[in-house]
Amino acid sequence: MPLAFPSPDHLPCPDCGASLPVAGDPGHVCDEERRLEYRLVELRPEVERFAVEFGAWLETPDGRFAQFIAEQDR
Amino acid sequence: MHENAKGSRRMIEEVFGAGRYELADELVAESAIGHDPALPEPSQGPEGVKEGARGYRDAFPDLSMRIEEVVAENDLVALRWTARGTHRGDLFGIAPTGKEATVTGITIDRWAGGKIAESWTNWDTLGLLQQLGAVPAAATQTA
Repeated sequence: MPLAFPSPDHLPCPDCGASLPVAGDPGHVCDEERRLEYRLVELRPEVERFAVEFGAWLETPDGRFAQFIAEQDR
Repeated sequence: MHENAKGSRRMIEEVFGAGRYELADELVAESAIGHDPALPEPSQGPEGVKEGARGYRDAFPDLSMRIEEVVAENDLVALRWTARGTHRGDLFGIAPTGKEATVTGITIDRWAGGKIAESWTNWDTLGLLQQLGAVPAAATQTA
């Protein structure tokens, strides 16, 4: 039998991250809590990038003006 | 079951699989050396084992270890195990992915004076990296 590039017996479910046999797990149903947690982890870099960019924008004239308006409307 | 085999089993299941780090004081000799491909250098004594176990459990807080087989002969115990956990902390510099991984490994312990004197572990590090997405799982072979 020819050798093949090693591959794992399990891989994470693309929707919830649960470890599933590569051979297949027809009984798998994503747990909703795990699915949401997994999605949040996936989005973390995007959320962090937004926080940095938003912080920088708040320091611009437009950002400072938006903060001033927000204070007035509070 | 052989007493040494019981101890080796507890090391995997309880210290690594349940975070009972203090048990390492009971099972591991002060002069013990532990070999693991994921450690930058061999671990030393019970404190080295605790540090290694903490490292894994920090990365996989829900880590569970299942012993598949145990073979004991003279002063040696060999265990084939399966580990499963969710990647929620930094591992080898890889930020948490939220992915659950399942890997297998084999540990051989040498016992002396009622404690583990040396331990050799080999586990599927490549498989873990593939499951976390750090390495392609189905790389195309090139001629």
